Amino acid sequence: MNETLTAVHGDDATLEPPVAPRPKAKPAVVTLDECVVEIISDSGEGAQRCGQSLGAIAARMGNGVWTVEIIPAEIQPPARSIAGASGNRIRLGANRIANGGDGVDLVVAFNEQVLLGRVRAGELKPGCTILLECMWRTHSDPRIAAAYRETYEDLVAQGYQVIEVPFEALCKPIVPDPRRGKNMFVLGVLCTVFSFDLKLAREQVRLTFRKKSDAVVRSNLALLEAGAAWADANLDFKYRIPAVRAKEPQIVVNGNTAIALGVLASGMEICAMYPITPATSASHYLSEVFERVGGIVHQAEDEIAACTFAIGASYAGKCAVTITSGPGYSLKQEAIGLAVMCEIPLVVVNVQRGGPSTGQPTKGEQGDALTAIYGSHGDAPKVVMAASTIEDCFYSVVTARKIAEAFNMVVVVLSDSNLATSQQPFPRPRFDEAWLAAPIDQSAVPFGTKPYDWNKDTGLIHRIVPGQPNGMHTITGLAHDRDGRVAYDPVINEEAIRARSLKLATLQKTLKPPPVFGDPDGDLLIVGWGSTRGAIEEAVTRARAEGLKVSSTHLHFLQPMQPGIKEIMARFRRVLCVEANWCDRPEDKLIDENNRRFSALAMMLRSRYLVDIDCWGEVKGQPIKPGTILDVIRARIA
Amino acid sequence: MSMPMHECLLQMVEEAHSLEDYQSGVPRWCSGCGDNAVLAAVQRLCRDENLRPEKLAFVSGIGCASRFPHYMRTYGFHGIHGRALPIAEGVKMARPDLHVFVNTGDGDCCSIGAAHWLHAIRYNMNMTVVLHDNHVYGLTKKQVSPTSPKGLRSNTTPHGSYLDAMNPLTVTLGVTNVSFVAQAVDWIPEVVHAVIKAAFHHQGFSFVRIIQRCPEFLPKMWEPWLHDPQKTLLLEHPDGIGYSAGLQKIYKNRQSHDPSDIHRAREIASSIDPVPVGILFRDESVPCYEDIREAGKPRPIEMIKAGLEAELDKFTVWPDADEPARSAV
Amino acid sequence: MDADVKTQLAFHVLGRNPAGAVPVQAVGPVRPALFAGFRDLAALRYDYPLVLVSEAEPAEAIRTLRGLIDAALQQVAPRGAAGERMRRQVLRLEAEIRRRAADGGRLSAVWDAAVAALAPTADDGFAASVAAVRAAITVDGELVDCGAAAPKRVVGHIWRLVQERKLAGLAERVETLVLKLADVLLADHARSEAGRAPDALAAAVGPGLSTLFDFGTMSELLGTVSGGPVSKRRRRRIEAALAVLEAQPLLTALRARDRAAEERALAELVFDDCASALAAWRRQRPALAALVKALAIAELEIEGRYDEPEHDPFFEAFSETSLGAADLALGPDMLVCVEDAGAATRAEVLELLAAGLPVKVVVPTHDALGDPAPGPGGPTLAGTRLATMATSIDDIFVMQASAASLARCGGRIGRGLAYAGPALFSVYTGAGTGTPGVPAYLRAAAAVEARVFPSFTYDPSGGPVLAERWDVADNPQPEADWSVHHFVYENAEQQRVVGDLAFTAADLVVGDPRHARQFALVPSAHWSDTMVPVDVWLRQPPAGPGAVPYVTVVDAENRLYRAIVSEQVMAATRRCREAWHRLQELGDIHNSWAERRSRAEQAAREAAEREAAEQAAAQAVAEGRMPEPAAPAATAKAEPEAAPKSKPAAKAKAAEPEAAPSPDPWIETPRCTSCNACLQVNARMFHYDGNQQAFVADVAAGTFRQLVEAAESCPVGIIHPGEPRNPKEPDLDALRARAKAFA
Repeated sequence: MNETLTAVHGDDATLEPPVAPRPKAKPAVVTLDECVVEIISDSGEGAQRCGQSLGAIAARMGNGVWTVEIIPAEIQPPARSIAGASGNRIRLGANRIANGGDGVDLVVAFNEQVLLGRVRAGELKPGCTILLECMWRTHSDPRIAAAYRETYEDLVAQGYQVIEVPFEALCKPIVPDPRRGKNMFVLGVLCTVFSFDLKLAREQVRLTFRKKSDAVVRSNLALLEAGAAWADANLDFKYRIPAVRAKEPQIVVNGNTAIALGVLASGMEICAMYPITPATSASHYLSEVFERVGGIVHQAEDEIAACTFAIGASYAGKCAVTITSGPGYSLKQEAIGLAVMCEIPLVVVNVQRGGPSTGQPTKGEQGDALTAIYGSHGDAPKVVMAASTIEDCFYSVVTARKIAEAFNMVVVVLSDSNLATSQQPFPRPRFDEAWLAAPIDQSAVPFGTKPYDWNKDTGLIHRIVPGQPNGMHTITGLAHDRDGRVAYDPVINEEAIRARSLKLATLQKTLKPPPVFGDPDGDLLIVGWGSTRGAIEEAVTRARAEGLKVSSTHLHFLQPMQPGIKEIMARFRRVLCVEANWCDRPEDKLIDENNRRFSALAMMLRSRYLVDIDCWGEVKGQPIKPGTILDVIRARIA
Repeated sequence: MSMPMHECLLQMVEEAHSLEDYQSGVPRWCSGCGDNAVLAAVQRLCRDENLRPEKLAFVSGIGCASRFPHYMRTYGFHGIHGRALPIAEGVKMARPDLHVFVNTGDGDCCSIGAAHWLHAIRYNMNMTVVLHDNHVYGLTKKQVSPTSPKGLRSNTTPHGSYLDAMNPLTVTLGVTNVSFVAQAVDWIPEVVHAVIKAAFHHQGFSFVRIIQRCPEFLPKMWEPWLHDPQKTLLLEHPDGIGYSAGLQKIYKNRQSHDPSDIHRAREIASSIDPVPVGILFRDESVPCYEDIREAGKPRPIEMIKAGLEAELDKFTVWPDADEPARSAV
Repeated sequence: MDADVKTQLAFHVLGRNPAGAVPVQAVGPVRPALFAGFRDLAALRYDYPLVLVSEAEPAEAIRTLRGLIDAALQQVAPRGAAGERMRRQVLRLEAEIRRRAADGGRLSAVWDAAVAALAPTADDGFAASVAAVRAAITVDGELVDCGAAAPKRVVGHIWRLVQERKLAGLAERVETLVLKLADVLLADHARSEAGRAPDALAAAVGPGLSTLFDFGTMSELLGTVSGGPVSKRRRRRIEAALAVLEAQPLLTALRARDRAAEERALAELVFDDCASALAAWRRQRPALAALVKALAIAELEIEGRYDEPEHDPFFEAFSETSLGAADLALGPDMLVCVEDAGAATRAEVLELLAAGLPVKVVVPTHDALGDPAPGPGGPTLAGTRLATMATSIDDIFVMQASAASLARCGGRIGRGLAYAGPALFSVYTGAGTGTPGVPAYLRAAAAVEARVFPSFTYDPSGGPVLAERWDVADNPQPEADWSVHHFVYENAEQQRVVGDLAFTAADLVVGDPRHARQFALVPSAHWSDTMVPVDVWLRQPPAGPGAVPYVTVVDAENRLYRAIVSEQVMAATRRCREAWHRLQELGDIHNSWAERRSRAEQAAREAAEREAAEQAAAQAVAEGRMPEPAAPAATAKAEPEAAPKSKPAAKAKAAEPEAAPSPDPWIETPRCTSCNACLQVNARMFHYDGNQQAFVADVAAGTFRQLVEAAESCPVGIIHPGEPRNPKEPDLDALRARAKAFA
């Protein structure tokens, strides 16, 4: 296969592409529990928009939905390249869906090369159906035509149900540039395939193009209708996934949008950031809406400035947030230490990506847990939370702001690239004024009030902010005493470190044990955190259906850890951490119990509870699949 | 025209502040250090303007000069090396009602914090920034700084430093949105005070470089200037600062300079012999970032609620079919 | 003496009708000669109708129809014949609109109606022309014609704009205060026990993660620190202020953009007589006092500066009588429109103004001259004095103008309405009695020309000196006694005579039938050289025998007469001129003191120059030289002093005489850099002054050695040790030698 071929979107009218050859009678509608669909294309052909719209329509229908963005690492990868697949995976189900699933049942591909990328990554279920743009077959460049034919035949030989569709040719009578318009045609096709209500589809199209002109909306509606009609007339399969329309309104957003909405809802008014993938889209969205509610997104000159800017704002009384990803988080470490030392509330969102170093900017990983907990030099205790669902992304920010201000601590919220770009409906939040930060206290403090009057039991202080009469003091990153004055006294240094550490214990005392998913006891307990929750719980459900005695628990707090974990673990024969970060494989030749590096959570649980906890992880940059975890469960229990 | 009542009432409880009201602790700077002169000038400014101590925030980085906030009985934030400016920007953005001062040294500002320095000029937030430039690292015991004279023997350049000194004035004057640049020398306290006062009253980012002698590590550098008044050039202008008769008697090398003339300001700034003091550049018309971003605008709860609900509406899937009607509400 | 002259003189002095003079009644109504050209005003493009533009700055809120059309034509009319044609068509429309203006209505509506009326008879392209010009007129508003109602409508319109703006500012301020006060209470709540209650914490965390927390424990643990809530007294005080601020109907209407409610609230502020305005003010005052008090408390509380011992007694004693001018200026202003109906009205108006209420008064005067005085007859000018009298109250804004100039007065009216105190707008409309057959507009304009009703503004906020407060510039030929105009006529020999006519007060009076008896018409056949124009007469009363003053008039057929003016009218005219002179001087035109002074200076300068020249000449002669012309004052360039080469700056003492070195130690304190060096040597000997700069506080507190060491350690070398006090101190010689460097 020649990957270097570049596409020439010729308009060679003499070469008529073949029309889908299928003879047909009205097909019977097959009822499915769930279905995984992918729409993939070169970057810029609108496959992502098509997929997101399909997800939204399904959510409107009342189906369970989880959408995953398929993003090339480059902004403009060469056309028709295997690594350039751009698009969306949509997992539709009759019930709530919490992850992207295992393999794809139905693919729509705009060229065979991007499809090949997905085939090689093992994303397609054996024998799955493929709707493939077939204009390449008759392409004027003989190399392209040859590559297409070769791939086509290869796929057919592998047993895939390949249906060739001249999408562009079909769109050409409707729009002048079918390359940009065929995504809505495909949306129409898929709406027919899944028996979706076309009225909802039309509304979704109008919503999608609400910022565009009427003419644009009209032509996209025409494409949608044409696609739906074409599928009705030409495809011999049709599905229905039973749906239960929710009683409560739901919102459909991805994790980054949820974080941005959480910032709005938390009452914070300053977000200082520096662009970094995959966190930036949260700030993009926030920039669009924040000013309307009197908020500010400040794009600083660098990550350090973003963090220190937020610290300055927080110090002055307005708890601020900075949103970043791994490399940016590393740069912020010194500043985070300053906030810890000065006991300034601060919310740091880390949308994790593959690392170390620049790593895999667009791919997810849970590699920053230990950095988040132990990062910054010296003893710098801070709170680390992890969002495990899209809904969590929203509420974690609200909660983090409250904890940060109540405890005068840095609160790190971990998300990752998988949550950032995935969509899942969740109940529409009902706004409560109590979510908002209290206004800046400017009342006079009694003379002699100390800014760091650490409570001997809890380590907590009552913070004084600039503007409060009688409260003047200087805060410093140097060791300081209760007045905030630089202190070289060994006793006061230890007292201060103790107090800052105590605050974590204080917070821990306010936490409840994590719930157990499945039976409270059994053969295997899986412990996870963050975005793997959906896949772990689905794998546990499937394993339990097979009769395996497996349960799972998922941690929202990595630092401090929720209580009762030891008791939960004690009720299972074995404990296994499943994480999307690296742990050495015991089967490797040199790995033994003396040198094995454990996954992050496993390491922490082992050290805290002195329990022999096993771990399994995967760092492929893809969301871990429930089927993969199921295999791990089977192997561990066997 | 009479005065609004609340202002009369405020004056009823207004107390005149003394220098002591702004003093905190005994400065731990070396004796003979120019930081003392800046501290005295700033405290005088606060007293003369009768500024309320709780409305002042002094932000600094790391270095000898960055100890400054500890000696002010105001709010202070002694931060981390090089980051005084972004911290101060955050403070100002959150609290435009505060008077923000930044004290930074030549290492803090021109070396580790150089990126922030350039961008702070561009943001042009209303704050007074004092660059305590003594041309050497003091706190870490004598290393070259970006403003050290070429050939300086220091602990990291035992054979003499290799590069020409950076000129913080010309750098500042070269950045977009520059709005106030002034210079003073620590041995003429009158000018230190006058320049900081003008900087305080400037609406925007006012950058004041104080040329200081480090009595410990670079005591001789400015000796010739100290001994020869001709080597100091007083910039004077109705829009600049004025000088006392006593000072004019000593420093006869004076020149009229219109602070609105940036080209001339750049020429003057590039001179170290004579060393210019006074206001080099001032442009009140540059908008302040905090004003552009409408910092401090009231945020009624209803506004936040309405904004959030409107956004949620965009993403909501309503349970009923009559959704458009619902979302229009 | 000529018989004519004799009889004319008799008339002027005694009022007896002269022979050869025609009784005014005999020729029908006469009018000033300068009016001859203005028989049909409707054909003229004069300043009316006005358009009251809504949503505009006060200075832009009053536009003339003519001005709008000219500006639009300027913009859209093509060059050349086509443009001329468009102009003609549009001017025809303008005339039609002017005819309809008396009925009022919005410009857009009247425009459309006029277009429809003209369309049937219009030539080709009319519709297109007027449509193009219409499109270029971007403003709209009510039309106002010149007449009795014009002042009230014009001032009322701007009053509304000013109120809206001012109250919008207040509404915004109140809104901010309400928010900030609420913030104080919210911050207090957050600090309080209630803010830390388990359910409050649960609400703050939100439903998403609340199952993770034990809020009872959290509440307990967070309770270990507290800033303490504010006092109940403070909370009550803040709540009370909040209640007042939130219950302001007009402000609420503005904040909610409720036009109808705003309309109602504004209508309640407009009055047609002084008494009801006063009564309304008494009703409204307590509410304003409450608002002012709440505002003050709010500002103090938000600043955290409310000091109970200081402020409580003040606010307890605070009542509506405590309101100051700045407080009154906060709220809306009342608008009172009272027609000048004689002395009683004027007295009432002055009293209302002097009371210092937030009130703006419009007084339209329809009659400037007044009925014949009860005694000798002649005009009383009773209608012209209100504004001048009002200026003697000093702190009220006063504007006097005629209806003819209202189009130019938008800015001034706006200033008066925005002025933080009472304001009076006295406007002569010309709508009352006066020269028959002359439109009100022309009468109003003529009263200004004749200095009977000059235009002026007195703005107490204009500046500290009178000249900055007074503005009389809006008068024709403000530097002259009278306005002077070209006048061309044909004499009996049918020859064109060109001359200048001054338009005096007497010229205005002559047309008023009530004062007809004060004039005797003399046809041209009886004219003589002893007749002197009124302005000349007043400037330089003729000494010659038999001189009489006259004004030039025309009858209905435009026949020219001279009208001999009675002494009564001359007296009135003289009064007008004197009043005008006073105005001129107040407005800094012909400032007599300044002129006197500049004349004196000029004389002194000339004398001095003369004297100097004489002396120089005398000296030159004495020295046997030729005298030279005087050189300009010697401004020899001072040579810059040579730079002291490596001379310590310490030597360059500031303002100290280079006398013998002082035996006492001293410090050049202003040059001290506060570096602590000397204080570290001896903190009792050296102290800092109020500017943190060192001085020698106590010589006895240390040794000469310490003085020398301090001088040596001083980085700027400003310490002078002087001479040792204790001759027994060891090593004195060496120390003295070291001290030399700092002598």
